[in-house]
Amino acid sequence: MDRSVLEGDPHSVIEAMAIAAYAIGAQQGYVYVRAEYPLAIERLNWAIGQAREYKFLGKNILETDFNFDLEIRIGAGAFVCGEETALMISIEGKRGEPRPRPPFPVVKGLFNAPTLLNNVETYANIPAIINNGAAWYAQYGTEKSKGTKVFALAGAVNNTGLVEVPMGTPLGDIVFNIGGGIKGGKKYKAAQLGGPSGGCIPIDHLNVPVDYESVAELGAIVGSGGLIVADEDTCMVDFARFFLDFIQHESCGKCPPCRIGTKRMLEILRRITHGEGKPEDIDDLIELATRIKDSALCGLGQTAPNPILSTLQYFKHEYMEHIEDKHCRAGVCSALFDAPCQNACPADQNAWGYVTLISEGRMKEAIAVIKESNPFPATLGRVCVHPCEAKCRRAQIDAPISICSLKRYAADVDMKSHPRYKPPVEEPKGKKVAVIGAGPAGLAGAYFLALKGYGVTVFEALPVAGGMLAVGIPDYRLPRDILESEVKSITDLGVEIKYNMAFGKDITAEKLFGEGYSAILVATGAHKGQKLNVPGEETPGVLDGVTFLRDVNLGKTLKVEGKVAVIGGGNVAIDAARAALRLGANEVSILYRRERSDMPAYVEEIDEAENEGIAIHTLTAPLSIVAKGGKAAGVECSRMSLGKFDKGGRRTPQAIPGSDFVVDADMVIAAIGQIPDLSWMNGDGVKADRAGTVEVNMKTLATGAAGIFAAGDNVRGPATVVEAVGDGKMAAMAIDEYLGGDGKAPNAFRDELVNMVVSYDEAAYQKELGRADMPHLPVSKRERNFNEVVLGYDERAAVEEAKRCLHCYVRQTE
Amino acid sequence: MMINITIDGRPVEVEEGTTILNAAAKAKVRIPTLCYLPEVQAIGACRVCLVEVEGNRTLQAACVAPVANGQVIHTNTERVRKARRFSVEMLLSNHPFECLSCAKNLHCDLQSLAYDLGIREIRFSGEKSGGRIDESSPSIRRDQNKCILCRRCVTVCQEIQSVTALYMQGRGFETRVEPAFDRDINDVACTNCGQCSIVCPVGAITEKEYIDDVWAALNDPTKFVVIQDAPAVRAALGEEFGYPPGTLVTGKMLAAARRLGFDRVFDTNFAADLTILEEGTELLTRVKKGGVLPMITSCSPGWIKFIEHFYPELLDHLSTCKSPHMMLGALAKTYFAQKVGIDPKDIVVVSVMPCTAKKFECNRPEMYDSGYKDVDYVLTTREFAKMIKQAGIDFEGLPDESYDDPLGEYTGAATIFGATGGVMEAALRTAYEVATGKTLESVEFTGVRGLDGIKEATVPVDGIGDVRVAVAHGLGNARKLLERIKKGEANYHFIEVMACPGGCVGGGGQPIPVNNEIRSLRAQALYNEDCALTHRKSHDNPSIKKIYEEYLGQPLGERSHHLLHTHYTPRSKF
Ligand SMILES: Cc1cc2nc3c(=O)[nH]c(=O)nc-3n(C[C@H](O)[C@H](O)[C@H](O)COP(=O)(O)OP(=O)(O)OC[C@H]3O[C@@H](n4cnc5c(N)ncnc54)[C@H](O)[C@@H]3O)c2cc1C
Ligand code: SF4
Ligand code: SF4
Ligand code: SF4
Ligand code: SF4
Ligand code: SF4
Ligand code: FES
Repeated sequence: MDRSVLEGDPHSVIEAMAIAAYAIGAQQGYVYVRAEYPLAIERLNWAIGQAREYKFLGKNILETDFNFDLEIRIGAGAFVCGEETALMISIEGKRGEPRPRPPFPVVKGLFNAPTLLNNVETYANIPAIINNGAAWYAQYGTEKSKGTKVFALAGAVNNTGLVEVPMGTPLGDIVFNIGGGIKGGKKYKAAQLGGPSGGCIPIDHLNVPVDYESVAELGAIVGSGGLIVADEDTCMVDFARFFLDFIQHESCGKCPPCRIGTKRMLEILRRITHGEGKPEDIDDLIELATRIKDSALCGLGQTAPNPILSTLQYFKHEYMEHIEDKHCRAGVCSALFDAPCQNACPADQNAWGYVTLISEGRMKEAIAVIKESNPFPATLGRVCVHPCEAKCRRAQIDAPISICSLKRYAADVDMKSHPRYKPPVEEPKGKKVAVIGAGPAGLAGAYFLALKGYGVTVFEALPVAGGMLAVGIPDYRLPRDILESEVKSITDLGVEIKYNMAFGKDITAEKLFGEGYSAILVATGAHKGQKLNVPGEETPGVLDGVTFLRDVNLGKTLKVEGKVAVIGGGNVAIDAARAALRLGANEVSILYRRERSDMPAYVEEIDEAENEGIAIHTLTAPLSIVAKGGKAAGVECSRMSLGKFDKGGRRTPQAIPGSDFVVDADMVIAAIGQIPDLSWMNGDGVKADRAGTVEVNMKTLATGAAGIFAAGDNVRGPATVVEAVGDGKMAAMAIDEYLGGDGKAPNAFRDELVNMVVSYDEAAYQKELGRADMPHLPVSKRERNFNEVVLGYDERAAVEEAKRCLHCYVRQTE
Repeated sequence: MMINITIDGRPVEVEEGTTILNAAAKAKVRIPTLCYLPEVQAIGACRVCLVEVEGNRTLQAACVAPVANGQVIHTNTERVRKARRFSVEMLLSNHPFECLSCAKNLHCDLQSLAYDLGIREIRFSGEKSGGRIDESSPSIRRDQNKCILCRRCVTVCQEIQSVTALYMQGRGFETRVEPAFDRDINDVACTNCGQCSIVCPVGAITEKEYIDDVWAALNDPTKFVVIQDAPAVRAALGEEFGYPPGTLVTGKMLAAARRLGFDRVFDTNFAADLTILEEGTELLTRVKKGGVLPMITSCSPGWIKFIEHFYPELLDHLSTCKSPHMMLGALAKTYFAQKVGIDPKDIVVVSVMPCTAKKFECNRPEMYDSGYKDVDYVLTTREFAKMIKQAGIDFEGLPDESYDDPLGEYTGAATIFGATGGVMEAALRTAYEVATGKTLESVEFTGVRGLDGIKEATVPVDGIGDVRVAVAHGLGNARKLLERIKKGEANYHFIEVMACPGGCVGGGGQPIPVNNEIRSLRAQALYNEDCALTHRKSHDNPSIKKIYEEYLGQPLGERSHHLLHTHYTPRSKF
């Protein structure tokens, strides 16, 4: 920012320095600029020349007896020369490194003379303050931090650059209003304030007013105004390492705490990001950081540990994941995984492996790799939220690989072949495990337990298998026969499903253990719709989303006509709206209290809903249900505006007074979220936590009761199929270990795949060969039916698409 | 102005501006230090002397932080102890643990600091910045692996010696002390003065040891090994054996030399007397015949190298006399060899010197005037002490012995060569009497004694008028004088320059530590010996008279010219 002042308005600095010199009786001033800023130097030189011409600099300024001149000193750009004593020593022509204070520059500074030393930005404020008065300046900012501040906004925001804001502007406003939010619709994770020796501010503090005191309370500094925004793709351990790396290289080397201490910290961070972290590393880091802060000579060393302390304060869990689980959630620390796609998958699906096999036309092997970690490829190939694609490196060139649709392709091929692929099953262990709930979590658990050689019985309350896959997700997204065929591939392994058996009612844990089951996996999902809590909610014609979808899916004849209003912005809302449309509604609208970009539903689904003619009213929240003749007739709504940020980083909607209006509706579907129904709990040791989900050890999914494990939405709250599958697998392995097995998930292909030689397709690598679109059913053909909307790839398209893969798992041998 | 402060709960009254370190000393509190070295540097770099000052956010480095009125200082809090220990732990985490084979084992500040701070475990380890071993110099050995970057050497070399052969290179973890462009120390303008080896708190800069070569010579039955020692050695060697600074241990030293197996024990002082005759004559000749003045002494080889590098245009000002031990070496392989009938090729001359620069000097190509290498090996006082210890000699229990003829007799004038101003004083004693033919009433020229950087005196000499002299010790002071000569502002006749502060008593090869108090005590020991001797003027030395009669002829004569004088080599600054 100083640079742009010198480039854009060098006169302001010259004027300010002359005023300052006059005030303290100085006769010589210096401007210290790094050699990397030639334009700043050129323009400042030119401005100094002009000032001399007009006698604003030099002898007898403005015909007084005041003399003052300026000289530019060009520095080699060492970071430490921003420290005042180092800066002066550098101006004196010596090796730029700090010296202890006192003496302070005001007493003994440059060439041993008393020296006033300020930053360019500070000086640039002086003429304006003198012209407009102190009160004018003080009207900006907060009680203690007056005026404005320039920030260099950088990182994962849409608009980067210099921004000048009044002190005390909330961080979220800078990031989201001025910065235009996070690039690519990703999620904000943290902002590093104050440059490499500042600290980070996590998502739950977006409301913090950016002033000296508030920011310091959170462990960051305003500093020189660096503001780097990190999104979900940033690994906070790596983030800290990056800054420390910089600082460590900029250490002048004078004092051991900084010279050696920062190196030791960096070594530990390098180890952690390379998967060689040890639990005691955290304590060592804190000890090093504390001591360095205390004993280093200058500000550089004293603040160098800040990024580590601050990421440890807010993101210790990421450190622990690296150290204990050897997992980098952001997919940055590549020593911890083969490829980012697999790393991002909650089910640890070897995406790169099957993508590569498909690119070579080896479909049979592809399905074998897929089924190693996923019993629902045809399903997930259709409905998965594919976090893998969000991390796919190909996106850095053009767009991510269609990892999800390629899985669908391989699964569909398998489904049509005879015999279908059947994964290898271990020797029978002679033990029985009971699974409660035939959703993806329960069935995945059953599948992996069966692979491990256990006898598995699934107890399901409903008459169908598939859980939300069957009774939540409508057929046009997941055709019933596909789901049934996948369920069959599980029962083909010997898994038995007993329908209409409600846990807690028809069977209990005690009974199951009594019947010889050695362990129980409870995967009962989250099926209870949340209440709107508005007057009139009980009016006939008001339904909750999950119930509506379950009725639709179970084939109940439902009459839907006229206008339908769906309240909510998640997948249930979109699915309900699209289902209502298909069932005969004339007009369907979705009411959502925040903005479209805030909707938790998948963008593709929202787009399709709009394509199909569904109106989405955002910033709209229900106030009450309007009834006519004892039946729902509409929703009284209020327009919303977005206020402060909540803990999750989203702005809290607040009603705009007097903005009420009514949306007419003959049917109102409330789809604002689900919670697990834990009525089966009977005090046998399984407990619920505060969020209303089952309390488990997140690494084993074991509940408080011996032998009882839990998985899926009843542990996480409404989440995703792939997480449910991942949980099912994790619980199955934990159960195996609990029952004396090795607890190792199948992993037969990895080593071979990593070393696989692929035919190199130059065209695919070099050209920006865009992602192959999935064919869609035309909107006109979707009316009044539940036919599948998204159609699959053909073989040629699939192979072409797979060839775009960059094979991130291939490592340069060192 | 006196101000009041509180240190560890006790009130102390100190002069304003005193450092916390010195104030604490007054309160009988010892704060550990490492980079700090009184008279050399106080830069606050090592962070070992940290203390807590109430009201200050950060810990303060006691060696540099000045006290302020009313200050409340704590030197022994948990925070302070942890911080101090941490600084040393960081150094250790980057240090090779080679104590057992280190030249500074048991004399190492880092070692004792680690002990004092109670470090009993190595908590942190990692990559070591490492560094090279620079053996290029015949005088000093630099093992950068052991360097803790305290910068004492840099400060001594730059600020006291004004040489700047060593400087900080690189930044951060790559910081190192190296000559410019990481050249070998022997390829830059290093004077070999060895002051850096005196101040280095660890084993990173030490004298280049020739102990094993000397043992080999002593063990070789075909060799006749002669030893000589400089005056400053006898005034300091005792310190290595627990004697207080300023104890003369001449007799025991000679006894030790014989026990080590040296065949003859000569005294460099003999040659010092000879130097006075040669140099005095040279001076009088220049004065009378209008030669280049001021004439400057040439017995300090560090100084010689300095002027060769930085002021080659002034080389004509140097006396052509070799340094005394080189004269003695040349005579040992000629005069003495003839006298005892030994083939000079079998004679090995070992000089024990307070000086590292003489290790370089004896290897100069000009120093083969006897037909052989005039002096084979130069050992420092420190090395000689090591030999005595290696041989298991009980130094304290030794009898007092004396020097061998014919190169062992000396006067008080020679012995004060070891202190700054000594050569000047000795020269004046002789020059005055030679020039005037009169006897000096008072032989003591106290105006040239003491530790002032540059000393001046005027001596009225009949027939010549006022002889103006100046004395500089430490190369920084020498540089100042040379600048004045260059500008034509120095109308002296004669200047004495010693490369090391305090002269040879503070030489680069002397026992560590060296500071002004120790320098004065050692010098005083030499002045005391001077007082006690019958002959206090070089020309009164009977052996000197004899060697001129028997061998050399007269000062500046043909033989002298060949064996006792030399010439100089202009060198570059870089
Ligand atoms: C409308 C909708 C759309 C969605 N769209 C997607 C999508 O496109 N992609 C995606 O990844 N995720 C999507 N999700 C989320 C995803 O479906 C769930 O996260 C996932 O199904 C959770 O699996 P689960 O096995 O934990 O629970 P569920 O699928 O809910 O299965 C739990 C099973 O247990 C049974 N059960 C409950 N209580 C008992 C009892 N006491 N005794 C016996 N059985 C019991 C239930 O009947 C059910 O069959 C969607 C969710 C909804 C509601
Ligand atoms: S803290 Fe770092 S930058 Fe500052 S003096 Fe010490 S080594 Fe140099
Ligand atoms: S390019 Fe291939 S290997 Fe890399 S992340 Fe994408 S799918 Fe995985
Ligand atoms: S310098 Fe000191 S600490 Fe280092 S090896 Fe030598 S004796 Fe040991
Ligand atoms: S020997 Fe003397 S000149 Fe050479 S580096 Fe050491 S202090 Fe400097
Ligand atoms: S060589 Fe010795 S004196 Fe020089 S910086 Fe290193 S440790 Fe200090
Ligand atoms: S002794 Fe004070 S900082 Fe080194």
